[in-house]
Parts: sequence; structure tokens; C-alpha cells
Amino acid sequence: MIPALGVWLESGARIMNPHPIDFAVIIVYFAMVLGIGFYLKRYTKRGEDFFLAGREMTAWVAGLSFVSANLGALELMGWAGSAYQYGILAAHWYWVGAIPAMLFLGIVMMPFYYISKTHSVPGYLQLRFGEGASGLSAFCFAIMTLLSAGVDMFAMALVMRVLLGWNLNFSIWVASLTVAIYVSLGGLFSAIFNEVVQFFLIWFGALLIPILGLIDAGGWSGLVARIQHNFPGQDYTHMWRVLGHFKDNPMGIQWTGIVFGLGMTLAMGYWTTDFLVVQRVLAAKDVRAAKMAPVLGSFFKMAVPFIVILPGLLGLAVLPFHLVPQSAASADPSLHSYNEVLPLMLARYCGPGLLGLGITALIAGFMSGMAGNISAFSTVWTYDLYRAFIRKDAPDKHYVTMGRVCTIVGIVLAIGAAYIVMQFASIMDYIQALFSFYIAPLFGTVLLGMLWKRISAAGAFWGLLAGIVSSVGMFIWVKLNPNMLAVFALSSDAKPMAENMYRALWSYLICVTITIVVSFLTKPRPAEALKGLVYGETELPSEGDLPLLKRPIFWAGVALVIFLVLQYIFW
Amino acid sequence: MKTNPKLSRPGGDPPRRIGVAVMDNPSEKHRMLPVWFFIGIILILYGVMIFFEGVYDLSHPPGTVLEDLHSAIWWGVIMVVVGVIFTANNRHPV
Repeated sequence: MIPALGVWLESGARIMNPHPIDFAVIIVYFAMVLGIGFYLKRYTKRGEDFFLAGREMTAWVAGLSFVSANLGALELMGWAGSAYQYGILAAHWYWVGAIPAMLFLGIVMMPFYYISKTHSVPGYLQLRFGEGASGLSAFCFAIMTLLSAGVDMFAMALVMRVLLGWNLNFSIWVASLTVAIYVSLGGLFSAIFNEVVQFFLIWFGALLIPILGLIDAGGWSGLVARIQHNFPGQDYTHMWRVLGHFKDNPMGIQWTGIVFGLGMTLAMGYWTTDFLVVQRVLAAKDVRAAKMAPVLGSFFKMAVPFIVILPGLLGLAVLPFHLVPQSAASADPSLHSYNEVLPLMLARYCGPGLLGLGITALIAGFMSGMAGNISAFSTVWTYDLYRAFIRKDAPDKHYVTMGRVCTIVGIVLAIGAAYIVMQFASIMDYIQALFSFYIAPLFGTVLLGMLWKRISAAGAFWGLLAGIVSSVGMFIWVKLNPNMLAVFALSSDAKPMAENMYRALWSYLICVTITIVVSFLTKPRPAEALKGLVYGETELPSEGDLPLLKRPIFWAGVALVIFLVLQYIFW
Repeated sequence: MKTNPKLSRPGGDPPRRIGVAVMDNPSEKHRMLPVWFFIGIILILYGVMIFFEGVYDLSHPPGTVLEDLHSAIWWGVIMVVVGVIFTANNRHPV
């Protein structure tokens, strides 16, 4: 769900001039994360500690880590660039593309994940359906996490070269060695602690841009007036009124794609079944904390456009030159592309020290992205592949050792992936697209499995496989014949940005259909085998005795109201 | 529920599902410094560095837009204050 950055990163020119204090700020960050790793090692002895952070995280820590795992540097720079290109439409990825899904995870799905005491999403599928669907999703996930960690490494190295002029090899090895040390020492404890630290660094590093930018632009009304002056006749500040038809907005998408494709399929798939983010909530200390964590996270997620989308809009208003598409910037080095808007705004307002803080926030985003992927890979490999298929009954200590070794091996493989991407930079954006191939169908499989006991193991496996294959098929078909986009999006005016939404929607529907059909043709598991796993066979803890302010459902309602108010304000 | 005997733990424990295995050991809560303590420390360090850089910038303006607002000074102070609150309230292991 990240806009294409690969081409920009390959061709960018250095745009910042850091001072010694900026490097000092960066060095303090590296020392801090390593120090946290060494401190946490003494608390990381059991599998539960290494893979689930002892299951003792409070709702606040789990919730911040949950949001932070998705707040990578590519996200920040990519969506700020998209905001410059498409206006406030880009905020859909933070609001309708996240909030309903996060609340759905917290209120509906989390109790099943938590009560089943699974350690991962493939682990839940193993409990619910056996080894078929679980093995398929674990295998896909392990490959994806390694490739994603490699992309993070390579992207960080390129960003550091663009921003600071650093050597690619230096950035890759320093970042990966640091991540290898602190994750192998502290496991998920380290990953979560550093994600929460990263969350604060990102806010303190980026918050000055919108504050100073709004002062510079003369407040929100001044911002809107300046944008209208700089780009007459174009609407950059409304979210829904331009979505009536594909032709009415620069994204070339219609409201059905945003609501059903993004909000109800891709976002649901990502926020409820991508183990990278769900793992953070599984580390919560009890069911209430596990339900509360995504709900709390939704409040912070709603605020993220303030430091990501607003800088893009401010770029439209205050920059003395227009940013251009990457193709134009590549042809003329004196021009800047959309993707450079966040670093440009950082350099515009932040002097020495503050600039280092902003750069550190980006580094922290990359490193926590790597750490998140590596810790998730370590868990899925150790428990969902190694333990499920290779060595089933070793002592707990053996699996902890396997997890630590796996962290190092995972880093080495990710470095290999980074160097492969370095040789073939154009595959970077394709690797990012890979997640979307299986995340939407996986949501169909998990949701049906949780809510309907009639779904059989065969139905889940064949439905998931059909969903993944159809998604890959549609992707290749559109690449070979771009006219097919009009068929999948049901409009000849659809643009490439709409492709992901409609491909996700169709692959989800195919997965659900095949799952249901095959389930009716095969035998379901007996009801007694589904206790704690499926709605109707699971005793959900009552919250009736809790005061209103401690109930997750109350805060979910508050989040939903704020979400709807935001849609109304920026309609 | 049917379970594979091979998946049960040695020593006569009742059979368990693979997915539960990671939870086999009874939980012992750790007493450790909360993450808020570390956040407080790093905010204090950064706040002090940025504050003094802001003071230095009074005589050596950085040439950024709105430099007359001296954002490094007050941002540094805010970071130190938040950092001190976090550190002071979370300095004991829990």
C-alpha cells in the first residue's frame, strides 16, 4: 500500500546538508536501540518471551507498537508525495483504509486470536483448519517478510544516499547488524520497545513541519487559498465529493473502489491478518488489553495524516516551485519529484539538530520495519514451519535458540534480498505489490473461519489458493494488457491506482466463493474441535462488570464518531 | 478435540495443540523498566542537544524559513519536559 518510490530513490540527488550535531543525534539513536537490546536480553529466556514479549504488554504499548509497525519511512515519504500529487485523497489510506479495520480487529476478531492462545495468524489457521491453509499462509508470509526486510534495507540505504550522501554498503551493513543484534538479544520485546521509541521519534521529528508550515501558510484557510492560487481549478482539499466518477479526481478511482476495495478488503486484510501487525497485539497481557490495543491505535492512526498528508498539502501551498512526476525529474536534474516533498519540507523548516531528529525518525522507521519483519519471520519459521513440519516436540529452549539463530539467518537472507534488489531496482515496487496478492484472500479465509463453523479445512485451503492465484493472474494480465484494467475496475476511466483496490476485491470474492462451495462439498470439523476458535463455539468474556470508560466497545464507538466527523469535515 | 499424540509434550502432560505450545510454560511476570523510561531518556538527551544548538543558532542563524521563531529552543525545552515526566514516572521496574 506504498506508492512507488523505487525509481525516485534510484535517481535522486542529495538534498540536505547535515551538520555534526545531526550525526550526533543519529549516533545516540543507534546507541540507544543497542542498549535496549542488551537490557532486554536478561528477560528473554522462554519462547513466550522471545516470540510474544512475555504476553505482558499493556494496551498502550501494544497499541502504539501496532500502529508503529506500519509507520515506516517509505510510508511517510511515499504518502506525503501522494498528498502532493493527489491532495487530501491520500488520507483515505489512513482513515477509511485503516480505522474501520482496526476497530473490527479489536472488537470482533481479537478475542478469537487471543482466546485460542495462538502465537501467529498461520498458527490460528493451523488450529482452525489444520496444516493445509496454515502451511500455505506461513510459507507465503515467511517469503514476504524476508523480501520486505530486504526492500527496507535497500530503501534505507538509498534514502541515506539521497539525503546524506552515504555509501549504500555502509548503510545496509550498519542497519542490518544493529537490527540483528537487538532482535536476536531481545526478540519481540526488543522489536516492540524500539517501535514505541520510534513512534515518539517520528512524532517529535516530523511534528514541527505541519506546525511551522501552517504558521507559514496562514492557517488552514491560508493553506487552501494558496493551493487554489498555485493550482487554479483543481480540488486538493476534499475527500469524497470528487469520488463520484473515475474522471473527477487525479487518482482515477471511484468511491466503490475506496469503500469496498480499500476499506473493506485491502485494509481489512492488512490490519486483521498481516501477522506483522497482529503479532504486536497478541503480546498484550489479557483479552481486554488485546481488544483495547487496536482501538487505542486507531486514535493515533487517525492523527498520522497531520504529519504525513498535511506536509504534502503544505508543499502545494508554500514551495516556491512545483514538484513534478518522476519521469520529468529524471529528465531534468534541476527539478524535484513529488516523492521529495517531505525531505524538502524538513530542510525548509528544520535547522541543525532538528534536521538530525527528522533524519533519525526516518532511520528509526526503516530499522523498526526491518526488525518487525525479521521478528515475524523468526516466529513463523520457528513455530509454523519448523515446529509444524520438521521438529514437532523439542523442548522450549530449543525453539528459543532456533528463534535467535533464525533472526541472524533471516538478516543474512534479507541482506541477500537487498543486494538482489540493488541489481534489479525495478523489482522493488513489484515486491511491495506481492503482499497484496495474498493479504485480501487471507482475510476471507480467516474471517469465514472465525465466524462460520461450517467452513472446512479443504474449503479454506482451496479458497485461499484460488484467491492468491487469481490475484497474481489479474496482476500479470494487466501488466501484459493494460486494457484489462478497465474490465477489472468496470470503467475505462480507471487509472493504475485503482488496480490494487479492484484486484483485492475480486480475489477476496473469489476466495470466499470457492471456500464456501468447497466447504459445502466436504465435511466440516466436529463442533467440539472448534471450541475457542469459532463464533458460536467460543465463550467470549463478558465486559458487563467493567465501568464504561474501561470498555473497548465504548472507545471503539468514540473512535468511530471521530472518524465520521473527519469525513464530514473534509467531505 | 482430536490431537496428535506426537505433538504432546514429553513427561505425561496432556496432549496440546501446536499453536498453544508457545504458551506451555506458565507465565512469570518480569520486573523490568517500562519502555516509557527509555523514551524519557532519549527525549531528554535529544532535547538538551537541540536546545543548545538552538542557543548557538541565535548567533549563527541556520537560514531556514521562520528561523526567527527559534523553534529549536522551544522544541528542545518541550522534549526535555516530556522526557523528564516520562523518566520520573517510570524510573522503577514494574
